[in-house]
Amino acid sequence: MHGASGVRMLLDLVYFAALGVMTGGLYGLLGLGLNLIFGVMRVINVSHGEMLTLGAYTAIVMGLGGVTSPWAAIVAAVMVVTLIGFLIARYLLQPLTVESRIDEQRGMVLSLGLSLVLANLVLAVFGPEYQRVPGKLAEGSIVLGDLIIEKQRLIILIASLVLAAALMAFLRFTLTGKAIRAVGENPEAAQASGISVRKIHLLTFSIGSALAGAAGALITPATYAFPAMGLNYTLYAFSVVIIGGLGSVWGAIFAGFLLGIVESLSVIWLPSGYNTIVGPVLMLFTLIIRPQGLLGVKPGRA
Amino acid sequence: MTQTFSARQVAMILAVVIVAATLPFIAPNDFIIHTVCIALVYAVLAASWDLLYGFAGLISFGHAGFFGLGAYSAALFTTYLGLPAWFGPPVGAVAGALLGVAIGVPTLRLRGVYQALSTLAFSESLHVVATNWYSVTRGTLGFNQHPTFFRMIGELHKSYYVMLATCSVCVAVIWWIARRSRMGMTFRAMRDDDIRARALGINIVQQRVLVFTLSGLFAGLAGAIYAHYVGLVSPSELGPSLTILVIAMSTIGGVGTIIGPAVAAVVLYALTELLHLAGTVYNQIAIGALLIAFVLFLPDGIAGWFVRHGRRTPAKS
Repeated sequence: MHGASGVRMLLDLVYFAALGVMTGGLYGLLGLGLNLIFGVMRVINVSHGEMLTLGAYTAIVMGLGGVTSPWAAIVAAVMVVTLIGFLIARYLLQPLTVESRIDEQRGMVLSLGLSLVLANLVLAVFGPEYQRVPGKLAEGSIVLGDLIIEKQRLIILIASLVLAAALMAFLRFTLTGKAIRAVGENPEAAQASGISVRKIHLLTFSIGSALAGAAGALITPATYAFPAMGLNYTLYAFSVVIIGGLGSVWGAIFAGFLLGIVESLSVIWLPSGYNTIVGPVLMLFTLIIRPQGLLGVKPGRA
Repeated sequence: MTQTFSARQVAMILAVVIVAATLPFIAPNDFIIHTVCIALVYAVLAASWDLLYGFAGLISFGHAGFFGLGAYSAALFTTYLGLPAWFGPPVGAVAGALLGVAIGVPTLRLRGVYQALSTLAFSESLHVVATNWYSVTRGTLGFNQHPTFFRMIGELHKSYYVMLATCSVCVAVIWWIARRSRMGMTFRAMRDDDIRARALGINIVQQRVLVFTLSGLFAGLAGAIYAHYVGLVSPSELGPSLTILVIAMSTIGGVGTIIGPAVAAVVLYALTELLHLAGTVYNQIAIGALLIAFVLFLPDGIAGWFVRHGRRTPAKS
């Protein structure tokens, strides 16, 4: 009997870990966008979660307009949020840029104001209600014994990984991607070699925002959208970026899964509701013990 | 360092003092008095944030953590020991100061963004605990079992004078620490160039913990005063929205001046509350837009604008 309960326990662990992997992919994707923006522009974008909100509400608008395909909504969300990201980078962040570098603290405080404006604009336009989209990414679930995984969750995970892989391939193999990395390493040297740091900043912020926008449209069919949803995701993105290491792409993916799994497993030991403490606590421990993050190489100062 | 005031400045200060002292008698209704009471608490909170950022160069993204911890500690302490409300503020101040030490010590090595995010992580952890520890904090319902200074109805005038006195003294003390004391000078030296400050014999480690402790003390005190004034503490007092509001108030008022953030806090809070007709959503949008505009066009804030367009020497040096 004792053996049976041991097996039971183990199965529970596997079950919760699997659920954690499902959400972890999304956290990784969010962290990846935030990390790209920080790594290249050296600015912490507090309104990153609001980009996700805008993506989610683009999907809602598409649904209201009669478009039921979630994939069309994702494409629309990417386009809308890319444009918004571009406008923010061009008209709000560019003026703070002096000699290829954005003023760190002014950038941070500005994005704080932006997050307040965007979240409340969404609230003013759409109201406080939780909203859903009509379409689903897939019907049904996969059943493996006690393990029941919604097909939608699996698709969100796969899509997140595909987007992350696409971004990495873009950064590694294309000339523009290399230019982005060059600006991240050393803006002055990049500028001196003929790269327009100004254009790279616009592009980076647009791509980073687009990833968050895609994430927003991707999760809406499985959950719901509400105006204040962004703030929570900003906190997750911060946790992922700090745990994985600021500027580390692989770190973000790894930390995303780690956060997802630990948060999911915490349900076993922590009373319900407390699982949201996992992100901030893991972030805090990382900052205290290893400020450069698990996979970061740069010293913990900026 | 003696300051000479022009006749116009003296007149302005006198006008503010007279309005503040007679407000209960000239205000057309109690709602205005109540709004100003809370606005005064925000003045202390904004000033304590400015002490950290404007003088020591340390950005706090979790200032609500100090405020909320002060509020909950004071409320719970007075309730469970059956003490009158007056014991609350010292308890809140101690709690805030201890959190300052708790944040300051382990994050000593951190700079810039990392340091900012560590304060956020602390306050978010407290936020989650306050929201979920129902048996102690009553969760999102809010805690309302603790005593208040005075009754809300009928004794509002007494409350107002207590709030005016304590909050004014707090802001004045923060101003004195930042602008007139040796400590303030040390903080500024550390902000401007910590390597040089160290070379001059300043113990950076000690000073960083000290400034976090002082800032936390006043923010915790503000939280406690708030708790014993309104008689209700809820988890949103620990939430990120409050921190954003405080940073907005300080930036708009002008960081590095203490008075700027304090005045901006009173004016902004009072204005947004009194213009409630327009709805909170639009208030938030207006504050956010104002914050963005100030960062872009007037990063020194209103106080900075006054300094540049007046004859007085700049605050930063």
